[in-house]
Amino acid sequence: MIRIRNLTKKFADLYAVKNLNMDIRAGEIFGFIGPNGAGKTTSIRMLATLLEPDEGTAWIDGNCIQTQQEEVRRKIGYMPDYFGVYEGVTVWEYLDFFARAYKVSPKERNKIIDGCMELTDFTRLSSKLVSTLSKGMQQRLCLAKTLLHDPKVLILDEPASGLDPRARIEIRTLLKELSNMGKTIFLSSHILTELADVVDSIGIIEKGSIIVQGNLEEISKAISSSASSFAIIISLFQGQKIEQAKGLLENLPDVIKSEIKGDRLEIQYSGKEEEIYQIVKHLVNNDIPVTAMSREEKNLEDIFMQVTKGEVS
Amino acid sequence: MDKEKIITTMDSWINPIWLLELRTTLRSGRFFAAFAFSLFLCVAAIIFALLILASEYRITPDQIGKGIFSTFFFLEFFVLCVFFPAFTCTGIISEKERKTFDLLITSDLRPSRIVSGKFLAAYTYGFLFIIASMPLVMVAFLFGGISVLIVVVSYGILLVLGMLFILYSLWSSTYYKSTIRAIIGSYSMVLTYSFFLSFPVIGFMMDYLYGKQVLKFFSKPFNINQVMVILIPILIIISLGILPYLLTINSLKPPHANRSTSLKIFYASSIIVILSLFCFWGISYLHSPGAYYVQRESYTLFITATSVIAVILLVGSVGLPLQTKVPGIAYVPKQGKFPTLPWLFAPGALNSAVYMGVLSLLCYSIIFLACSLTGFQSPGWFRQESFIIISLIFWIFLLFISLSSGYFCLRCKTEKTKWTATLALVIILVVIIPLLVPFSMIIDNGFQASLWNFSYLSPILCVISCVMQDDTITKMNFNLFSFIPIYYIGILIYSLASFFMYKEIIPLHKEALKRVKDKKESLKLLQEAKTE
Ligand SMILES: Nc1ncnc2c1ncn2[C@@H]1O[C@H](COP(=O)(O)OP(=O)(O)OP(=O)(O)O)[C@@H](O)[C@H]1O
Ligand SMILES: [Mg+2]
Repeated sequence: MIRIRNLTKKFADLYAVKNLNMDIRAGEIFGFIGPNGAGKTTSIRMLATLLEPDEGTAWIDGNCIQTQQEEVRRKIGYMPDYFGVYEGVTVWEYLDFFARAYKVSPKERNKIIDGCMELTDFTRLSSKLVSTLSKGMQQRLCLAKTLLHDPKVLILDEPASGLDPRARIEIRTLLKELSNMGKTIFLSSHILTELADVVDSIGIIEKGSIIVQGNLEEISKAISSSASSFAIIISLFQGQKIEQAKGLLENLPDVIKSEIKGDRLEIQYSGKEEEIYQIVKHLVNNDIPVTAMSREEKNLEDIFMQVTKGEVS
Repeated sequence: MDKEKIITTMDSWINPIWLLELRTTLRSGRFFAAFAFSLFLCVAAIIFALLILASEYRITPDQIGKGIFSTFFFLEFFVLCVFFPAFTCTGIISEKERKTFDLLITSDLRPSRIVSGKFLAAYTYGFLFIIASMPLVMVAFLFGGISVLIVVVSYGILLVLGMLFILYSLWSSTYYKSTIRAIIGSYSMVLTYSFFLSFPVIGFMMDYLYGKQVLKFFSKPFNINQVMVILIPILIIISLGILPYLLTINSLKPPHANRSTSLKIFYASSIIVILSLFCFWGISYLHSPGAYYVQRESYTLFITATSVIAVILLVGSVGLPLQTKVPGIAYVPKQGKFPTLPWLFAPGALNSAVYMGVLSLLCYSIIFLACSLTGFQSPGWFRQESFIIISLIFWIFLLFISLSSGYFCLRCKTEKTKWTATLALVIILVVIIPLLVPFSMIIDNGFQASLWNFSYLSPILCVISCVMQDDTITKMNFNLFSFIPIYYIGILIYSLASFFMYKEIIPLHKEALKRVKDKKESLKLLQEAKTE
């Protein structure tokens, strides 16, 4: 559905986006993740035909973003990261304006606007002035606006930024619903965990280049298997004998580091997985009251921290 | 046709931007305040005029009516200059500052529809302002001295001027990068325009109210001059209006898509200008012997038309090639649509300049030929071949300017440098050199003066010396060799300069072409890879 080849954009001497290559299948939700200044907005603006790439190009549903702009604009619903609203118009009039701008036929226009308002929960607010809506509501309104012309592809730049936790969950369910309706969704975010349960695949970008890309599970598996060590947390009954346990563990060859955290002991273990039980055995043999032991699972946040270096280009 | 179809068609005529602007602006208190203020101004001015006129001794009701009407008219002219730009000068820049522009431009609205929506909205408010004052002016009818015709014509003038002002403000709102600058820019543009336009307008009013020369001219049995005198201002106004309109649309398009519009701008304005020149020719050669003032007017119109050409051609050939990275690509006409003659491959708007030059030269040659064949005499201050020489001067000058702007285009790194370089060149040639002339004449009042003052480099001086054939000053003092008129020297020097510039550009241009070709090819390869 979206096919990006060698997309490059330079601002003066700085490569904001460099040789971006991506394929996004129809009906997929794709999360585009990266730290501040990574080049997400720049790539998205190029996809939305607002910026001209310096090199390379992309196709959306077979239409080139450079040579077939009008077709591309008709195919996509674009929501920018920052946007303003017109003063003095109501929610309904705002949507009516965009419906007209997208040439929705007059017969269906009212029905479509009502449908979009229902989907985004605006039915009761239809006669409220747009400028009096809160930031989160405006964001939802903008999302409603992108749906008016029934685009095949939604391109959303940080749709969840500035939303409260409830609204975030709501927007996630909305995205899922839209995806079930067969739309391809391309969205960006700084925060990987925020997207974890909606996206099908992700691409992590830093300093203009893609670092990791693919299916979410594959990525996390690949990263954790390649990791040379993992964290193990050992809980002791009321923290008894914790100092002794620490001393014991530090003598084991595969334990790199151990740390006391309250009544728990956190260690970095670099040995083989099948030999973890040796740790417990060692502790129990020395009469340490172990109540629980757990492997710290790699979560998305860690993946993100691990692959990105936090340098701003 | 069934009802639904009609409704659908009518609905599609409604410009969404127009609707939105009306919804937002007509609700605002600011609009209402401005509206009330302008009406209040009208009422106050008419009362004031009445008081002053009534205090005069021995005044006929006739004159009171005329006085009131002219006061009102100038007031409306003032309202036009003050309020019309205010509606539009923030039109597009405010969308950008409010961050609503991206949403607008990614919607399915074409740039032309956006511009016409903005224009229509502003024109609607302006129309309300102008029309609302109509009942007030009817007071003048109580005293007499004016007719329905003059009211209709003066409202027509106001509405046309309003259109021009709105178009220029709209252009300024896309050209400048901040609201404040857009406001300053559009007001200075509109004030300059209204300054120049106010002379003919005031002249027309005064003539109608007191002298009635124009009326007499038009009340004669139908003749071609009447049509010409009306047609030329209309053509000039259209060409003045088309330019900002197309430029505004152009600036809303992505760089690679604005080629066709630039070409359109160029061809549209050059055709209009050629037409108006033809009309001028019609007046000066076909005029009836009795109407002397028509001749005089046609001379003024000729000067106006020539300056309009100069401005339009300068914008066309200087401004536009600077907007594209590889001008040669941007201006080579498509095969099939235009003839791709060997000279249609140089950079910049050169193709257009050449096209334009050849066209005007052709026109003038036809005129010249027709005149010499039919034995027409020119009306005195003009020789027939001056037309050809003037068009040659313009043509060769534009060729040079467009070549050099093309050169700057290929050589300079940033847009700003290109603009500065080209503008500096134009200013030196068009403004500075004529200014230098009087000085150098004082310095050494003799033979070598022309070596010092370079007057032959200034197209304007060349034109002047060509028009004023008998003037001894232009013939003697500006001249290196008194028997060669300076315009021939000017033409020769510019041809040589253009030739060398052209040689300089060719390799640069080929390089640029290659770059673009590489890019296109890589795009094609990618496209092929995609289809596989
Ligand atoms: N118009 C511009 N002119 C110059 N540099 C720019 C411009 N727009 C973006 N950049 C630069 O390009 C880089 C990428 O910016 P971009 O806005 O794409 O980042 P982002 O990933 O969207 O960041 P954020 O998470 O903060 O939104 C940044 O270093 C930025 O400084
Ligand atoms: Mg961003």
